[in-house]
Amino acid sequence: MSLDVLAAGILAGGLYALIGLGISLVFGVLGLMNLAHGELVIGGAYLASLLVVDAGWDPLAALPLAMAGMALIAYPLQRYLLTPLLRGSKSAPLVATFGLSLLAQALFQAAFGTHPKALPASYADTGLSVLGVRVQTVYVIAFGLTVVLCAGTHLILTRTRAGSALRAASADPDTAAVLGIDVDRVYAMTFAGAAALAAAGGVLTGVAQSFTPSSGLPLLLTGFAVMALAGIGSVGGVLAAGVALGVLQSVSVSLFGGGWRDVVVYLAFFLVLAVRPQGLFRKAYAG
Amino acid sequence: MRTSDTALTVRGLGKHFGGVTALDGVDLTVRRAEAVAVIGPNGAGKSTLLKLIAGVHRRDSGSIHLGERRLDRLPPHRITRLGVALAHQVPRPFHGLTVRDNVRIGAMAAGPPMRGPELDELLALCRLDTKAARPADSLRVLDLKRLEVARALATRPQVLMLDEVAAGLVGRELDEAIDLIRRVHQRGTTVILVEHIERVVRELVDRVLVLNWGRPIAEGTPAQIALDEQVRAVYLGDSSPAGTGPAVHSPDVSQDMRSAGQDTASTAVPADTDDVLVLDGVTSGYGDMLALRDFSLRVRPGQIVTVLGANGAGKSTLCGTLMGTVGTRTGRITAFGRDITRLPVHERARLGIAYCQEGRRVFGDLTVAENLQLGAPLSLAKGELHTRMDRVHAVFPVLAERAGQKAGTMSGGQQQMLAVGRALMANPSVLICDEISLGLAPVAIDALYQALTEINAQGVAILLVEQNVKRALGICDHAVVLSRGRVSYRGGPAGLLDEADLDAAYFGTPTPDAAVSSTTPATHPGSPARTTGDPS
Repeated sequence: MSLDVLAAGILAGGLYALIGLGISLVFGVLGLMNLAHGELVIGGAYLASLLVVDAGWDPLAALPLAMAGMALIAYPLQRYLLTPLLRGSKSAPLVATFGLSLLAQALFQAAFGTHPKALPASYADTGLSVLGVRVQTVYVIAFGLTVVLCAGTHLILTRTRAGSALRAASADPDTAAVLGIDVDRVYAMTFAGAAALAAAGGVLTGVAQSFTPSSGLPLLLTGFAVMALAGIGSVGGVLAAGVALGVLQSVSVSLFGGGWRDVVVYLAFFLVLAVRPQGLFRKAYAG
Repeated sequence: MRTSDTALTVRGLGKHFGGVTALDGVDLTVRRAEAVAVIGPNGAGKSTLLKLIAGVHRRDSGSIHLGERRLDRLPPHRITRLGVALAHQVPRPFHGLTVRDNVRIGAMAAGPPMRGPELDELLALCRLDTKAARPADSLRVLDLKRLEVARALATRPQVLMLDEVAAGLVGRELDEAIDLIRRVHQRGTTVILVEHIERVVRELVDRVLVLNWGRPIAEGTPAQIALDEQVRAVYLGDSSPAGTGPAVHSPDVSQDMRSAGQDTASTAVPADTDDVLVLDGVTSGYGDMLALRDFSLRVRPGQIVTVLGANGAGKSTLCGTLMGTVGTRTGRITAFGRDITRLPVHERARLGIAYCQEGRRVFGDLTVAENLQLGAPLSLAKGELHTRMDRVHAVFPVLAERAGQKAGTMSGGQQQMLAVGRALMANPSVLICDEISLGLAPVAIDALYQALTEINAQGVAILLVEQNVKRALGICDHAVVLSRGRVSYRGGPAGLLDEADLDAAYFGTPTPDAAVSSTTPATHPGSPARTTGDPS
């Protein structure tokens, strides 16, 4: 097997990790499966397209704005819609995110049409050679950015007081509130952060390939597979799981052909859920 | 020895959960048609015993027999079919179904379906016949309890186990619940009760088994148990005399009398902006169960007020109500002159009310230092944060030594110190402590109480909820005893130092003797059985 296949898998895996990280963060802290996460990703891509396609910006310049824009949209959604629903049954917010997913798709269609869009960039189709291995430039950029964003998320979670407030609210929201932490706000900030990460993934996805209003679903499912592989609570685990999934996919495509691309992802998803539900990169809870 | 007269035999029963021994060497023989109670403080292993018998948990050692039949290796549904039923403290009916269907489904679990007449008879027995067609969600708490019992009876049990089914009931409801259990018993069903409410035990059973930390400590008639010194000691917490504790100030009688005379923590006085906390006629609880009824309390700056009472008296509910984790139904809560009755939890914390919850509730995956920092506001400047941490480290040096360690890996005493230290990081004006001595070694309790006096000396008012009566009375300025949601004593600690007075406040009767002999208390249940030293 060629190193090219391996390298392509590793680099594509970076994007998977970026998408999975947001899903994992929301599930880990809020206990909420966000079925609209794919639309947060695509929403980021559409938001960037306003600047890139219509105003001629470079996608990487538009990326921070897309992240901020999606975070601003996500914050009130969590604060005023999903958090009140979380107080009731577990299924209500889940169904609500499914509704949001459908609503977002309809909005994308109304605003941008069903025609596939892409974010044009000078590095979109070029390749480069690293140590004799041929790779696509955009995936190298995406991978680098993913590592930076994962490291940033990890540092915020482990080294800042806001990060420990978030971990506290995740572990025991009642006690966190007793200590004066506004848990509703922590939830909304977490959701906004996840949306920003999703938007970053969306912009990079939009450069690498075209997207339509319904492109969110396969991204969501890939993100779920990453989370299942990684388990909850470790940023490093998410990165490792994304890369593992990317390599698995890339290798299986080169061995069995393109039709097996998604089959392998979902097989891995189900196998991990059945055999090691706590994820590959997390030790089983003791006791 | 098992004879044909024996309904249930438990021999040398043991159960561990992880490193915790829930039960150890418990023996119990129940004769046919007998009624037996199992009592003991929280964590004594009472519910575990019932769950082992019902097969919900597996025993680690010992044996359980129903007549000649060995139960402890059978799955729960087989045990139910053999004639053992368990009714839970918190009823969980099928909400969409009617009362009648709920009971019918209970019957399906064991053997042949129940015919109409038998079902009607059962519903009538449980006083649910007039409500049979109503959906289970529409029932009030007493009827929910009746339904729970009816569902257990629908399995046609020889042995009915009741796990605190009377919890949360007061007054006439309690009379009705006792009446129901008595009717069931009189039909010939063997009854095993786990109960905190002394009256239920006294009126219903012939024999009592007392557990503490998983071990049997006494067995006998209710009268014998009421006189047992060891049992009293267990219920009143640490039995060591207050004098052996650390150098906390011993109750100064003259001061107590003075404070009692001044009515420092009494009721229905308009809020004074000087007061740290004022509860005025507060009623609160969970769902339909009111754990606190028309309760008033005042905490003055720098005061230590202790709230005592048996399990289920409403002490933790009081703490939760003050903090907002339990909703207030009626009445008003004021902090520093401001109405906080409807304020969310985190905003109360930011006003300067710190709360050490029962069970420590430290964040086990976070380090000791991270736990401490969480106690301070996020916006607090780094310099001030470190000043506060130094201050907490001065009170609890071990927290400085363990700063980088995960909180979950520390001992129980150290975790409790962390919980108190974390609360102090907010620089509170009042500290609410719920059972901070529970489950700790005497040396750890000494250190905590020493710290409480230091904290109090810095001007922090303390509301101390304790099961450890002597410790709490040794430190407080003012004491309140709760008995099933209502005040049974209010005044200086001196008024409780005498054992008879303490019994009166705790058990609602002047002496244990009388507790046994008076089978039908004429007083309105739930009203203060005897209020001593209340100046109002």
